[in-house]
Amino acid sequence: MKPSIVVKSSCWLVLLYLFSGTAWAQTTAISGLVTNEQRQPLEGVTVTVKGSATSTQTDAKGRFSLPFVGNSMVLVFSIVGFETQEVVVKPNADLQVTLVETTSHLDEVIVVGYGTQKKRNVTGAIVSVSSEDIAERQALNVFDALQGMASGVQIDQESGRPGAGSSVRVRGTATMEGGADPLYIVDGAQGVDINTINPDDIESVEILKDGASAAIYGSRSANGVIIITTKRGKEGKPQIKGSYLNSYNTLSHKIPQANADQRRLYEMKRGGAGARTIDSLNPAYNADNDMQELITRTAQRHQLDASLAGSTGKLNYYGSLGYLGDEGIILNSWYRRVTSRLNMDYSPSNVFTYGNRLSFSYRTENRIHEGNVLNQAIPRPPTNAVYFPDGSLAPTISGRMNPLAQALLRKNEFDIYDASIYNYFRFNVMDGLRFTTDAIVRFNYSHNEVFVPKLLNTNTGATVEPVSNGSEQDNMLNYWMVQGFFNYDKSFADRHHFTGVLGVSAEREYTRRINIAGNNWVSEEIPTMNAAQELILNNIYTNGLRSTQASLFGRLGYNFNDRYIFESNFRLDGSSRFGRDNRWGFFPSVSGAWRFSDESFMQATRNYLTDGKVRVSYGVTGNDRIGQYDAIQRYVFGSNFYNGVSGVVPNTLFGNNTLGWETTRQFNTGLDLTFFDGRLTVTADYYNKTTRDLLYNAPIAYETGFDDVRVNLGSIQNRGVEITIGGSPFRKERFRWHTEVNFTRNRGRVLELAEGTEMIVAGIWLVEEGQPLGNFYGWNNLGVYAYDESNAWTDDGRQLMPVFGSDGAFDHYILDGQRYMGNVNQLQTTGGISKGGDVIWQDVNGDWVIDDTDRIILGNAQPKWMTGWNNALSYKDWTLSFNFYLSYGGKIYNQARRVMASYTTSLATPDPYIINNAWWRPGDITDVPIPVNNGMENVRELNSFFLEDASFIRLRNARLTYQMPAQWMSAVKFAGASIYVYGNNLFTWTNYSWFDPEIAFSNPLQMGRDTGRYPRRRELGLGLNINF
Amino acid sequence: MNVQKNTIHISGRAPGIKRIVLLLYVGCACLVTSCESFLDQQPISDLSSDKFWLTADDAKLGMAGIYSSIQSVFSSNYILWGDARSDNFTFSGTGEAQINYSINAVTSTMAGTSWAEIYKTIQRANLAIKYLPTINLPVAQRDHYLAQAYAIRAYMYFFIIRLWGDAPIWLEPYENINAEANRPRSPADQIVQDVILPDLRHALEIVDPGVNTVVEVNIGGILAMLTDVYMWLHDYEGALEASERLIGLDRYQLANGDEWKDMFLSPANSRGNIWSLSWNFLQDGPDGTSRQIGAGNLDPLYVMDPAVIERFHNDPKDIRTKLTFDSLLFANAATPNARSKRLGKFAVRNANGTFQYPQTTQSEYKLTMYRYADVLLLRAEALNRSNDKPGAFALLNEVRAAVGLDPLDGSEYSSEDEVEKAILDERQLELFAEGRRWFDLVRTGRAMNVMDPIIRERQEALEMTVTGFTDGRRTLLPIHRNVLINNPVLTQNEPYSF
Repeated sequence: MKPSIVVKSSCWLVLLYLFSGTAWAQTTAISGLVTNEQRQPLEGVTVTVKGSATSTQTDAKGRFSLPFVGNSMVLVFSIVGFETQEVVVKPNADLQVTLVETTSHLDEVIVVGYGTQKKRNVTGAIVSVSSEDIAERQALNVFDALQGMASGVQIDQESGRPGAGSSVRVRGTATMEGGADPLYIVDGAQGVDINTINPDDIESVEILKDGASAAIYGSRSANGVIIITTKRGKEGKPQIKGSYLNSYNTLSHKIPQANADQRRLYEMKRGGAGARTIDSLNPAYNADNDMQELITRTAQRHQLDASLAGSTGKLNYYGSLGYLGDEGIILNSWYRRVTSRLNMDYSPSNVFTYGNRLSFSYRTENRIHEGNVLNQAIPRPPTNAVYFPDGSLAPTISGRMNPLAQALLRKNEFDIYDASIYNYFRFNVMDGLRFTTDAIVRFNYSHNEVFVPKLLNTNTGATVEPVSNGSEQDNMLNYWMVQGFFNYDKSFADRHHFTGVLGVSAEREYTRRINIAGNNWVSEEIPTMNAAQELILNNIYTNGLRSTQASLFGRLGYNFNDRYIFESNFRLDGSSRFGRDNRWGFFPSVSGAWRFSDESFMQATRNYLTDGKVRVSYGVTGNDRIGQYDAIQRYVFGSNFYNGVSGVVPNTLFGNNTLGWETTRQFNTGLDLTFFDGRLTVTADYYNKTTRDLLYNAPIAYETGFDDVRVNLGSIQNRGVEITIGGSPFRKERFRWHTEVNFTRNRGRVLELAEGTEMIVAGIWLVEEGQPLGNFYGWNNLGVYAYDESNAWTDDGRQLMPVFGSDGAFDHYILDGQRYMGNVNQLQTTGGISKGGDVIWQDVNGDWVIDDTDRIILGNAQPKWMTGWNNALSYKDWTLSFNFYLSYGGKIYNQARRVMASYTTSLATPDPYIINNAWWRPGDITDVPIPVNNGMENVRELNSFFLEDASFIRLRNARLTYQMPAQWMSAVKFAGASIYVYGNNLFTWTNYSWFDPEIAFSNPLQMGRDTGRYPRRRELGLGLNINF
Repeated sequence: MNVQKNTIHISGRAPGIKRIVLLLYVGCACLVTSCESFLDQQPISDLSSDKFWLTADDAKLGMAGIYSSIQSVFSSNYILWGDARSDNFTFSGTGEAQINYSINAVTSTMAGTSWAEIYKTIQRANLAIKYLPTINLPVAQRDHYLAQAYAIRAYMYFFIIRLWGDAPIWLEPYENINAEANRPRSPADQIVQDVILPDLRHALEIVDPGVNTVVEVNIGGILAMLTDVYMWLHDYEGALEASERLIGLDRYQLANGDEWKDMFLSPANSRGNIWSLSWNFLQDGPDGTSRQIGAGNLDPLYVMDPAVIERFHNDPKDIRTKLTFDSLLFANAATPNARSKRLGKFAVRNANGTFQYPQTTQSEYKLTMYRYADVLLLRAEALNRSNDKPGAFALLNEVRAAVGLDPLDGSEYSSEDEVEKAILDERQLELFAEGRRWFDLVRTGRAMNVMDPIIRERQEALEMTVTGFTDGRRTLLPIHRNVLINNPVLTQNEPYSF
């Protein structure tokens, strides 16, 4: 009885409730506005009455209205990309609903080669960076935008020079000389100059790290592929955006430099007269300059961007204009860039789409000669005058250039014009099958003008009349590529999903160069070449280079219910750069993923494990970045004149007609986990990649008359782990915190070298089998002998301590407190037996002679691991974002410091530590040798004294944004506005003594050498964004 | 490669699958066939090797290439090889390399220890020797080119054996990637007997005796080389025969008085020159020699040894003194600084007698390879060693007379060694900074005796451990490390380390 009564009564209650709801319903309506967190209206949000079928969508202004039913009801707001929200409403309410973007990006679509893919179904190792991530950084360029954002991607700026490039290494360095930069694809096209892209135009960046994902790009993809997609218009009325920022930049770290007193102390220790000479008229002896202060400044950066975007259903457009004016912190160095872009997609019907991506840019730069400014400023005796008493700039004084004059007067200007025109047509051939054909044409013209006025070639005491000199260089580049490919994408029975790609492409790159050089300008007012009175014939040349490539590529994908995912890519590439018999390369890949969280046995964990997937992939990729004609035996001319005849001689690079591809085989396995509806995500990858047939400029016996030959030799292995953990500890409406940590650890080693023979590169690095690249090789510096007699060793290599009599004369040795009577050995170098003030070198082979056989590996240039930590906190209208970058391990060879402290010339001034601590008199206990060149090679290259720990932690950037309240905005008819303050390169914690421990890895064989680069700056700025 | 054209005319109407397959098939076929020619890219601004050595012009251009590499060989090594280690020069400033050359402590990473440029010249000569006969040229013209190629090849090997001793022999160009590039060192004697002498003799047979261009190797140059080589071998008979033929050409004479300077400034106008290098900095780049001994804008790396300056000043009648260096500066300055010790031998001298040292970037010192005085003095040495003391003195005094010096009295020199020393002393001043002195010392077995005390003195002044010459094997240079790295089958000279 009892149960039936309960059931009956509840049924009645429900009926009564429903009936009363409809019966007493008033004809009032509820309406409201739905916005995102930036207070921008959201269109197309589905608003459903909970428990009923009633629903509506928001309009372009983000507004909706519904008839109100009952006393209260619950509305459900949902849209892709945002978290679904439920709101209890009362009658006649005008709602303000703010939707929060989902932290889980699983539903996002990302761009892969020749198509897109749901992020949750990715089978390879792909990192995606969004426009929002980039916007937080006030990036100058693409590299700036990506640094520290993705695990497994190491980006290091070459220097602090405005307009300086960066080295990008995806998963370590897997080549020696084949070019280690990744392949860039911009809106589906290759060959775009990445420096012409305004970071503000970027919608997303995808980094394909594993071999399987990259293999569809075949021959150029071994170093990873970076796909950049620029912005498109969004549905709705046109959006106009404007932004401006202004920042102040200063030298982030001033290094210790000797003052005049210290210089005089140095002269005294050296025993020379030099600056200690009293001669009030001599420009070399009477100043006390702080050169870093003199050549640097507080520099300003201005950046102004405007864009217009919109879509009318058939036509989608995005246009932008950007200006960047960037001053360098070294006087007279600057970089300006104007970029413009027009992206358009037009679909007159659902069969046909036409689109284009047009981008034009102009860049101009005055590039400071780092060797003549910075590398002269630091070692220059501070006593040397910069200005003469009459206010004129001093010339070169006793062989030391005047860095200020070099910065101000030397002209090295670049003008670069770049146009990139990309068009595509797309046809929907039939249901699921699409054909695309596209073409990109890129034209680049650059002009470089160098002019060195007389003053910079003037040396005090010289007997010859100085002459001015200069050069002009024009470069023209033309690149085109055409592609045609089919995309297939179709589901059967709702569970079997097939995808496919098949296409062909052809491309050509063509460059021309003209160089003219001369001397003795008619007037220093006119820097152009026509003013030269004398042309330098062996530096006047033109050259042309052309290379072509043809390809066939394809993909096959199968996906069962998003649970079992399989994909296979291939590419067949033919390149003109290789020998005829080896020019075709085949690059296949396979990959698969299993979404185990969808399996029935995972039911129990579904409450907290939202999504779980394992991935495995294997792919073959290639590298063709070598000279255009390395496979051809050539005769060259133009710089081999004799007696007025232009001699024709064989090129010093031996043409290898058997040259073929460098290939990389990469295995990747990864795990993607999403917990608590996206509040915590974990992505982990392990990879193992082996590069074979390395493109290497092998030395060839000089007796053949050649210097080197491009060959396929040896192999390198890179293994590593990448982990990215993201989480949202706070997700309240008012306070939110999203944080992400990425971790990268790469281990590389050389598996095989030509005939197993080790190589010593530039006398600094040792490359041998079984060891990583970047091993520093040299002598271990153990200290400095205090006395001549300190060079005394027992037969088993223990140092004896000399004891001196009351008259100061040497008496005897002691060892462990005992008088030593045994055999005394002395170490010697090529310069003789080491004495007090000479360096104690580690005698590795124990023969008491320090020579080349005593060199050992002193450390490695590559960091052991790297971590990026990115944060975004928001409270009400305030947002704070900041990120740290940590690089641990690795050594830097501080070559700039060694050059100053090599004692080979009296003109170089070492840093204060060297001067103050240099050995002077017998008994001095120090680690700095006697500051004279006594033939003992105490400052030999390479020695461990100049190797320093390269680890650092950097607060790379921080930004505080204030979102203007909506009511203010409506008052000025803005859709939205925000202002922010930000800082870049704010703090660095490091033990490295020179300007900056961040160093580019441009040359895989010569990593980690600091030659005294343009120092990095600290930037503080203010910016404003307005949406109209 | 018209893939696009094949596929682009698909209109909005969906074509059948068959058509697509067909198009793809066409596309693929296109890839593997017509793409081959699309992928054949020939150099645009260089010549591929099959397009050279075809015409008479090519022969001339190829020969210029050989001479151009001779400029590279000597640009920075002229002083290092023949003078820097001798008692002619000492270091200036504090540079490690200069010091090490001055105390004969050369190591395998220093400038001057690589033979790469020399072999480059040899291989260019090898190319000429291989391909000149394939060109349609008048025989006399072709043979004269060939004679130069043979002679230059011999001359280059002659430098190699004197500087490093044993060395690999290459008599044909390296042209095939599969051929063995690493050859071991052959004994120096074998190089002399199998390469240098046969090459020179063959060159002498085919050379056009009528050609007399001083900036190229002509019959005089070949005979001078032969004299030089025979003297190195102490084959005095051979040296006398070759030098006699050279004198018999009746082409050369000693430069008298101020004409002496012409040999270094305008070699073509002086009959005292047998072979000099042409130099024009606008075309050939600057001659590195000025950087080492005297440029206008920088301190020299090597300065005259004080003892030599004194010898130049010994006889005020010697016209060479003021033409070689600024003797007034040297005499007046109490402590002359390095720059005032520049050597002006190859520099232009203006009307009031001061040298116009060039900028290092504009230097065009016309390096002398062989001079008549050189050969006459070598002949004097040969006569001395062939029991013809009067003949030796006659030649020696002939050279002295040309520069304003009184004759030496042969009777004051009792032994052959003493006469030889007198001749070598004369050679030192006459051929100062012309890359001769060191080889003279080594050839006559005097290097160690002359240099040991000087090196000790220099080491003492530098507060270094005094070791002296240390080892007779140090008359040879070490082989540069890069040379050893590039060819692993080579071995370093004892007692040098890698």
